[in-house]
Amino acid sequence: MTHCERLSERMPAVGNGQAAWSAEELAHLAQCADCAAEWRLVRAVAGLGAQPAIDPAAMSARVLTRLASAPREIPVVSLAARRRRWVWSLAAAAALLLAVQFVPTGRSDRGARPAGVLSELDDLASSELETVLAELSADETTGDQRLDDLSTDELEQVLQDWES
Amino acid sequence: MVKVFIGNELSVPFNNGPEFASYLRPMTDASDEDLVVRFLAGDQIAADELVRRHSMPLGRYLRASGAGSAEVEDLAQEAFFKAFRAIDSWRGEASFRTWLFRIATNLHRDAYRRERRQVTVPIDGHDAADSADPEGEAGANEIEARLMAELARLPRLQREVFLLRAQQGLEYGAISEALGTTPGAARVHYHNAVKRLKEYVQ
Ligand SMILES: [Zn+2]
Repeated sequence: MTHCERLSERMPAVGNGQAAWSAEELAHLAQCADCAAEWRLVRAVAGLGAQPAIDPAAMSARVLTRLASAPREIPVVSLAARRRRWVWSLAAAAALLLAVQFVPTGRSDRGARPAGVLSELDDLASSELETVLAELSADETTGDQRLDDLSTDELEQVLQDWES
Repeated sequence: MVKVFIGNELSVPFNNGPEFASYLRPMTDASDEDLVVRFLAGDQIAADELVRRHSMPLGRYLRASGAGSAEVEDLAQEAFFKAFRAIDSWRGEASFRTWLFRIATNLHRDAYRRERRQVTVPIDGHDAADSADPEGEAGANEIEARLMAELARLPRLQREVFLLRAQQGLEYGAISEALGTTPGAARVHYHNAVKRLKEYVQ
């Protein structure tokens, strides 16, 4: 790292009052036009937007009042992730089943599956597989937004329905 | 349960865990993370301290990001509300400040998208400055006004990275967490912004 790069790295901290220039750094700033210009910029930006129209005490009071009537949100990420994991694992299994179905076997019953392979999925009708695949493409475009619209209880119910 | 009284405002359940140690420090000395622990234990004064600590820097960031002066307070307030309300989702992987700035940035982006759908703002030198500062309040000096106008012309992510670094002093790792990018990309955005903006403060 060059001297200029080291100075550049430290500028935000010095501009925000979290650090101070050493004598050596000040000497460099005095003779390096490039660093001096960057330092002028960082210093100007550090003071930019000073004194926004905010009253911290009043804001705090308003936030706390709102919080008093709004219960804390329970994270639903894990529930959504559980559902996604389940759908994706089923999709993977479905894809495997389709692949097995169409692997050339060299036998006269070309396309038939070896007996016993993925017996659980054997029970799925092709219309059900289509539903799973349609669900997947819907998930890719709107999945999380749609999940966000559900309450935790509704999401839990959806999960139970799916998993049963 | 034994209650411990500290000063005239705190009454906390006694235990020997590390969380208890955070109660022993004065509120203003406590780290953000300690304050969050206190808030989770039901201490609203801790939330008050977090708002006092971060509302002005957050307001300055939103203002320089292009939020109108009337919009800044609403955005900041909403960011705190959302941050506290969803505090259970915050796992301390990012600092509270990074998390708060992430929420505020997303709120500002949403507000910007809504506005853009409603009105078409012509962009030239004056309009770019005016849209961020309709009453000319930020034009306290010429450099600041020019800088605000040029900031408004930067690509959004580049502007946000630049402000979080130069104005707020965040490290690239924290910036990448706040803005959903990588530290390497943040570094590139920052240096591109510096290159572009340097000439406006000559
Ligand atoms: Zn230099």
